[in-house]
Amino acid sequence: MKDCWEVLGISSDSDERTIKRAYSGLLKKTRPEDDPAGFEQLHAAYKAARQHARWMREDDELESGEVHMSLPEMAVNEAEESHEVPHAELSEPSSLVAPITELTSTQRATIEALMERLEEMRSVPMSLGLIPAWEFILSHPGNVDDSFRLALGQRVLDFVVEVEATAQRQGKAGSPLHTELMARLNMVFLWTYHHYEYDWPDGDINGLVARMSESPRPTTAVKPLGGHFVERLSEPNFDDPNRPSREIKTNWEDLALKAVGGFYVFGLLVSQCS
Amino acid sequence: MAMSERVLGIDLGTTYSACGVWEDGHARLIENAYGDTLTPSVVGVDGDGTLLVGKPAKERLVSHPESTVAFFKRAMGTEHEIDLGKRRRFTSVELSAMVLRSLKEDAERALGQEIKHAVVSVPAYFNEAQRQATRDAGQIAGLSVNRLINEPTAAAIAHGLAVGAEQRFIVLDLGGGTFDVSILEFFDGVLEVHASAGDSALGGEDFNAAILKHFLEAHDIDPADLAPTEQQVLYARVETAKRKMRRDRSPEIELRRGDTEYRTTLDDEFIKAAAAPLLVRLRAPIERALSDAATAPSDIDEVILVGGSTRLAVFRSLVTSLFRKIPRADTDPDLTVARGAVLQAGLAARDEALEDVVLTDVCPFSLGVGVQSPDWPRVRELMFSPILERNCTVPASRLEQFWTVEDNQDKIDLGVYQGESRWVSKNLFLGSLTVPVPKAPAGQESVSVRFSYDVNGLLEVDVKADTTGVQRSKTIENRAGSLSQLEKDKSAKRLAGLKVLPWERAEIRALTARADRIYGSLLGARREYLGQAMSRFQAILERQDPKQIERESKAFSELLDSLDVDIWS
Repeated sequence: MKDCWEVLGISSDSDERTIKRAYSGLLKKTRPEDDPAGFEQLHAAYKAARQHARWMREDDELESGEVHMSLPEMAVNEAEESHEVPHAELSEPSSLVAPITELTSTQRATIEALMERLEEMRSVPMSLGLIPAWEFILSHPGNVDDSFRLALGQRVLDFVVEVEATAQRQGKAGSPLHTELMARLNMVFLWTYHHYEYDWPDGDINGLVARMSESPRPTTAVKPLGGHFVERLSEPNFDDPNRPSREIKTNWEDLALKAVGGFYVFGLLVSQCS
Repeated sequence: MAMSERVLGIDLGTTYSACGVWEDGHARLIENAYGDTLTPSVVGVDGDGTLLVGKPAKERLVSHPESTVAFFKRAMGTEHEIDLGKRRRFTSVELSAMVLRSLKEDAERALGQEIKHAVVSVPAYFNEAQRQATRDAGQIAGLSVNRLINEPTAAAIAHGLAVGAEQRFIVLDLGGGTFDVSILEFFDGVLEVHASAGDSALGGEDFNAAILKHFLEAHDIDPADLAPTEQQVLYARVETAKRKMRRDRSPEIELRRGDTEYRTTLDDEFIKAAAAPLLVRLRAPIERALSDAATAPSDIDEVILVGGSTRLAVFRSLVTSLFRKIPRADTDPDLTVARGAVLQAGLAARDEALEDVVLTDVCPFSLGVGVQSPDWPRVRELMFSPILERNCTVPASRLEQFWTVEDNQDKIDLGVYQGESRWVSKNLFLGSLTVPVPKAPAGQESVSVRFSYDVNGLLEVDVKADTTGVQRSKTIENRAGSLSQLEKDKSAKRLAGLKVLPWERAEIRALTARADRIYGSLLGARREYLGQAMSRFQAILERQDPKQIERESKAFSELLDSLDVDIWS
């Protein structure tokens, strides 16, 4: 079995530019549509080589002190040990968040009002499981603003964590925060992509995290304009809100939870297939 | 492939479609009977049973909603049928086939030769069933689809080939019905797709619907009170106003009901308030693509916008603030995908000028099998075990081993699924295979499962029982919504039986359809005036003097322009 450098015909200390050039030269003779097996081998070698070159470069940069680690060293080391998936790489947090600006007093007041309304919903536990009841949060126009959305997302995360913990303490069979709701909320606040902090009481967070990282069901397609439907569009059955939450387990390969003191920070491990 | 075998590159869009061929080192886009490169993806049947496709059908969408249909691409891959009156029911595959056939005929007319092959673009997020439905539509229209190309990839090809420098870019394609995000890298004649993500139910039409809803709410009108025609007139006005925003910062939307007139100025603030949930939804696919491609926003050299809806100022400012870069829009965002499909068609035919570019694409969704988790024997529901992970480069092939879970199990059933959920019930079922295994204690017997996914999106599953060597293979194609050859032939025959509008008369028909639509939107004296002009024009048509018709239709068209306050496009 050839290693990736032999496949590419270059030395193992090649930089990314050299790897790309070698790959592109060979690719012209091993096109994916003509030689699938040959291409797969070439592409795997190319990816492995690039990954290696990237690590080497990052190491150099670390040694020369050009990169400042954003997390305490301990946390990063733990996260790296916990994942043993080959070809996986720990990406820089791919945050699209604009620099956080100070919220205006109106925005702060709006968030307080929204949270108050959310707190009121707790007195009717049934309503917590109804997505339409959450629309005022999900569809709030303020969410278009990054700072507002992050601030609101932080408060809502605290809220759902608290609701989940309460449900667990009371030994309830199911949490009202079912998958579709959590997935919808995550689509707005992107909890599993951005870095949010929260204080976890006692209990098991796995179920909650797993539910928010599910892909949400595509929202109902708008029906074609004109004509008349003969059949109804059948929708896949998404999730039973009554499913016992404790049986949902986090897939640790997909999700790394980095411990930082008494807090947790969500991060996402990107696993690639190559 | 001989030079005479032309391959048509087609963008089969939700709202508009376009096509072209690779000619003398350029992408040549084909004009339809009306001289437009964009053909509305609208199909209708008129009173005497003649099939209308494109512009004349679009004009009738308002006046004859019961026999006209648009946005059927969204129903692609589902089995429901759309009723166009008089027991004429069509699936979205058949409706798409009509659009494809119309494009094929336009191209054949322009090139003077028969065309049998095509490269058709599909949203990256189309699933297996939807891709197969697109192929079926091609076949019904008499086109063998050599390759399906993901829309963002097509857009990137159009840009990547033009630019030529080594760079990494993100393509944001907000079309009529879908939002697609792709991250690509171009270097040394290689165009590598790193990741694709998208929302298959988020597009310009959703913005129109949101604006319409907000307009009705602002004026306290119950949507249920609006007649279907009123709704469509209003919808058309919303779209017109949205398009006008490019030139005029604050166009108006108006609706007259009885004696009351409702007016709203459409500006960025109004759109922001109306479409906030949609704007927020744009972020999730962007985040996922970046995360899958292990790319930070700062690594992105260019942001490329595709699709008419990306012209919206609120969209542009959102994108600019996300990437802190002014997005590029140097080609017409409506035609970029078609251009890319044409380039891919040239690539497929290995035309000299394109010889140097190799494209590698990804499979945008995970493919795997249903398994019983040994860790959670109490969980009866099958878990999804991915074999090919989403965004892996295709062609890809991977081998996994699975073991028996019960004592004396004599066969292993493998359900093949597509999706990202950890539960198979929430993923798309593609097919199943069963392999016999010798009876033995649980966990002793195993099968090796190989998934091979090719550049055309065909999945082949091979299963081998490890001790006996018994093999089973399956190419996944009998998916829900895909058609058998017999059904395709039947559809093709059915469509061939429909009367088609002759090319020479197409323009006249579009003109009369437009007159009908305007007639419906006018009131009082103007309406009466137009009615008289229409009868006069009809009389001239009946005399069948080509010269006179040509002269009169020009005058009639000008009259319509003067009456048409809402030029709908």
